[in-house]
Amino acid sequence: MLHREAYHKLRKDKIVVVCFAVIVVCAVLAVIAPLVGNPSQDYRGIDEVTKIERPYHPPTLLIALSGTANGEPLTDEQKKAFGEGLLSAAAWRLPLGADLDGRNVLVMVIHGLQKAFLIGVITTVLAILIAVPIGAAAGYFGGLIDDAIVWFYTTLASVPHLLLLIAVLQSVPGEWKAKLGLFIVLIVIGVTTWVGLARLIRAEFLKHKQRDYVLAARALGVGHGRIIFAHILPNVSHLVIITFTLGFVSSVNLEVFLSFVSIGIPPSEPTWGQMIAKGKDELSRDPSIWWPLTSATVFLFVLSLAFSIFGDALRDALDPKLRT
Amino acid sequence: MWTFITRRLLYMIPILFGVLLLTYVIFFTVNDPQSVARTKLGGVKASEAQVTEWLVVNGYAEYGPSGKKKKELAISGHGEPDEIMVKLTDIEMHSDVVLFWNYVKGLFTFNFGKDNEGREVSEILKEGVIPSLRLVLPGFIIAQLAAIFFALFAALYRNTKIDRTLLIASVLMMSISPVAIILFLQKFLANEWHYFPVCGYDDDLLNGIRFLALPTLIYVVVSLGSEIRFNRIVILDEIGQDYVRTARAKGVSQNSMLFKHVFRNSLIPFITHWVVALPFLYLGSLLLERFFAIPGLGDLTIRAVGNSDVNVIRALVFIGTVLYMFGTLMGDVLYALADPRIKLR
Repeated sequence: MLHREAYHKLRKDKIVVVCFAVIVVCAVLAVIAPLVGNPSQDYRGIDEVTKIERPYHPPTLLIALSGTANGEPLTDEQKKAFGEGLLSAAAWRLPLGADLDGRNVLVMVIHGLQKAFLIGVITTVLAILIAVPIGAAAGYFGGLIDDAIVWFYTTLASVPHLLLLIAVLQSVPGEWKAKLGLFIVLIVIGVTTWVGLARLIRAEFLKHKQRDYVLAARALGVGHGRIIFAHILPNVSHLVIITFTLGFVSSVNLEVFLSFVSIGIPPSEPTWGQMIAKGKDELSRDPSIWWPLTSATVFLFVLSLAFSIFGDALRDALDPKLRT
Repeated sequence: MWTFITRRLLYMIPILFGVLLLTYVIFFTVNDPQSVARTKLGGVKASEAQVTEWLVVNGYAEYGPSGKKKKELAISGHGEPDEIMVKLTDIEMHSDVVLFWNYVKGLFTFNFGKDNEGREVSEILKEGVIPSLRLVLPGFIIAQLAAIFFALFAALYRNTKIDRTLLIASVLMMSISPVAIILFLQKFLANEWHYFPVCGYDDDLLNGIRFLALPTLIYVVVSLGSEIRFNRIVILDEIGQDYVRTARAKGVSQNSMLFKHVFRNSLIPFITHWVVALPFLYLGSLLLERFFAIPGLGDLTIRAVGNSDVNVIRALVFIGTVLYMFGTLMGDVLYALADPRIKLR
């Protein structure tokens, strides 16, 4: 699928290789997330190293700088205890601290990473599964089929995407939401984001169906299905790969938005969106608990950045015309 | 030209019909009207009579012969309580065709019904437009001007470190979650360092600037990254054209080439981009209005979602869609006007 030339182009750019490595590491972390710990385990109570009692815990390295629960600075004794305990395992139990509910932020973030992959993969795969057959049929068969499909997707694309999402999520019956939880949101995002890819695929099929190799296949009596899937599709598969990498990021960011306006995502899901949404209150209280929000933001930032740079490079390597 | 515009307008008719059909399916057929009524009336506590009344008042049904009789009895004031109590068997549900027709009629006469608190939706929308535009219009203009400036700068120094730094900076900016940008900037610039008021809104034009300054700034920060990237690509594509090489060969200077020839030609895609983006501005910025308590349409949308205020959401979806369709139409027309190479068919 990936042409050799494109592969070499990608390998030459060090930043792209780093981004790909980041994506792989994130994917591995997402898979092993259940082994890392349980995000709902409660760590509220006395800090074993400094013996300070508070509902939350700051990140390990910042304990000395942070105050007690009332905002008073630490005593020299407590600071000394921290310095001595820094190398013990107990100090590193909560490397990124714990939030107000005493939940381990690192574990939450890694579980959020798993959810992010779930969101990115399911929504984009769903969109691709819808877009490819529809776009292919429109471009390949033309005529009335094409008119009907173009009418349908133009209609869908005429409703601003966020409003469409809100409208659909709004009218999904409550029992479905209860049964499917996060998945209902993923399905809705998937079925509302396929139009862009379908347009590209249709345009490519319009071009390819007049190429000699397709005419030859038809002269040999190859069936329509076989021509579409076995002959033309491999030639336009780069569009699918590009859409996958770039759609992934936008879906993950969409989840943050939807969590924030609290539509669709159950608050119990350990997603980055929920961490960020909760971060608003944690940030404005005194003393401010900024580490859960910051950790989720930083992880989201790194994943988005890696996917965007890698996706852009992939697009430039595979099909430079698609840039705008 | 006029044939082109007429054709484009005619083409909008089937699309508009499709949108109406699609939104009808989303809003009216996914949920059973009775369960909608029960949710609105407060769950299982709602009595059958209440549900029946609700269905009639909200246009889902009308009273059948037995229902009419009960109503007459109720108005005359002689009936016993259980004689005049309407039941679900007393009403006739409207067919989909009638419901669809009423839905379309309501939308086109801007009669969107009432919100959950009993206020006319069209009134609320009118109130919300001005604050939204006051926030987003200046932000949009500033962001676009800044984006053009940086993109031209990047193009002037293309393939150098300056260009690469700008590109990386814009990708970095695009990758930070807008929610986090808003949270942190509001926290530090307003809550901690008190450069700006934390939130609020004032109808007075001059006094309002105080409140709108920080959200406008954040709007610019959030949208700048992707805009710079888009503009840079447009300008670089233009630089690659043959006429640029000819102009350079003729002895036109680098600056004159970039600012006179390339920039003016890039305006075509820029204008189309703006015209298509403009209709979205009416929503303001959903998140910014929420955070800074600006009583605009974005805030209204989020509140409507929170209260499941279907009438408000319906109206917003309809207006948003119509504006978007006209935006794309205007974009196409302007594109055709500005670029003589495009054949008008």
